[in-house]
Amino acid sequence: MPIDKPEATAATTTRRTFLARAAVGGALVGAGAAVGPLGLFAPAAGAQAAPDATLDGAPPLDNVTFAAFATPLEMAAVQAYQSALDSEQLNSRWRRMTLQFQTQHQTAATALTDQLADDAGTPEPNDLVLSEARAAIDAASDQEAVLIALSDLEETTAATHLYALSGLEDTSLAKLVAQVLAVESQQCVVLGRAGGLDVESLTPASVSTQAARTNLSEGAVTTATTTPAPTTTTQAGN
Amino acid sequence: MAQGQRGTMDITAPDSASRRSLLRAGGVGLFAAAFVAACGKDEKQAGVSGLAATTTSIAPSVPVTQPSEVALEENRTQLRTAQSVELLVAGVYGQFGPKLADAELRDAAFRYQTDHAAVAAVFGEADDETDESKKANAYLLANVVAPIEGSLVDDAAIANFMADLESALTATYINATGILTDAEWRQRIMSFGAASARRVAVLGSGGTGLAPTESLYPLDDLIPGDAFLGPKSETASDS
Repeated sequence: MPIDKPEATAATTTRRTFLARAAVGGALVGAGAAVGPLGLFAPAAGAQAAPDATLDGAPPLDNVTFAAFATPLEMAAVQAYQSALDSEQLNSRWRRMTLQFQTQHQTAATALTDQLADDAGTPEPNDLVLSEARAAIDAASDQEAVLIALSDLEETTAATHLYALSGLEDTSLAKLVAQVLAVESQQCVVLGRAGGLDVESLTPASVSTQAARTNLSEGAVTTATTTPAPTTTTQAGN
Repeated sequence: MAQGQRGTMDITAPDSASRRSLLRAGGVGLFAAAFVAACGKDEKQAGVSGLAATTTSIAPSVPVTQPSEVALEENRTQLRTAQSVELLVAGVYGQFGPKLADAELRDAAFRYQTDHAAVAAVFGEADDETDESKKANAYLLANVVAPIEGSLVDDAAIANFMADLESALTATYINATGILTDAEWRQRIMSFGAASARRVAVLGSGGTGLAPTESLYPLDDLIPGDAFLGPKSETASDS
């Protein structure tokens, strides 16, 4: 099948541009917009601009390695939400909403914990992600700023899961990660809109990995027989 | 189908009963009917609803064998189907987007139309296109869009229907990640699936927005088995 194969050249590029086809000068031809009811569903008669999102490719990832990295990430999100709840910047409606989102991150973390190695140590929140999120929350002067900080956090977690998808070898785990990715993408939008971000920037044609955490050693759960986590594409390219 | 939004929450109207009523008013039930009807005809797709299996606890070794021809054909089925559904959704935006009274929703619908058409082109270039895949998905057009067309008379109904279609795409692409044999394509299809999920959050609840209420995106809105463009559909048409 002519599906693209994993790029053997991944080690030589830090970032590969996804669908790097030239945009057609904005001259998009809508799918039959001027045609009458149901008649519009004829094939689009013209070139379309390709979505131009950047997708970084992760190295091959087994379940244990991914879980060791992603569980602390989700735990950091849980703690960041707690900081938002403790900030006293949120009204009751958004306290309820953030509590719900926090619970959803905890559920994701719990699901990932099942994939950890038997001899894994106790997972701890990813310090770097948590400290960045907390700094933004602590600096927030109003509710909107807190919600934007949380939206940024969701952008990071979602992008990281998308990044990992290109490396995960187990399709069952990939499907689970895709489900988490979709939900966190929605949470990003809900929080971002409430924070005043524009809809267009929150709903791109395709989602990128630009906000992803790609250092798979970062905050990873250690094991008694820890093997080095795969290097990031950035490192590999150097 | 409630666009998987059995798992979502109305941001502005917490009462779940009224939300569900609104979704049904938007014609959700028709898609659900199509889904249920199709489930009995294609066991392969009918069994995929529900939460993803998470039973794999041992990391698989790197596969050393090439995917089977059956697996490769399934890849092609997923991509062909995706192309046709993207075209369908682009068409819905093109037809009903201009009817939206809300300017922000109308602008969003126009962008989403062009986005979906562009994504359809990506799928089309990924594999051998077929006459079926280069057109809006015929099954969904006949069984989902046509029956509901007359009821899309206001912004809430139109936005709900668009959200339902976006959720169908999201669920279908999530499902594809469990099928596609190529990890890069699993990532790529979810770059589109996550974008659709985002649109659900904007368009849901009559265009006022929906928030997810589950940690795992529900797969209830997976398109019916008869909508897939594979050998099975050709066989079915012969029978």
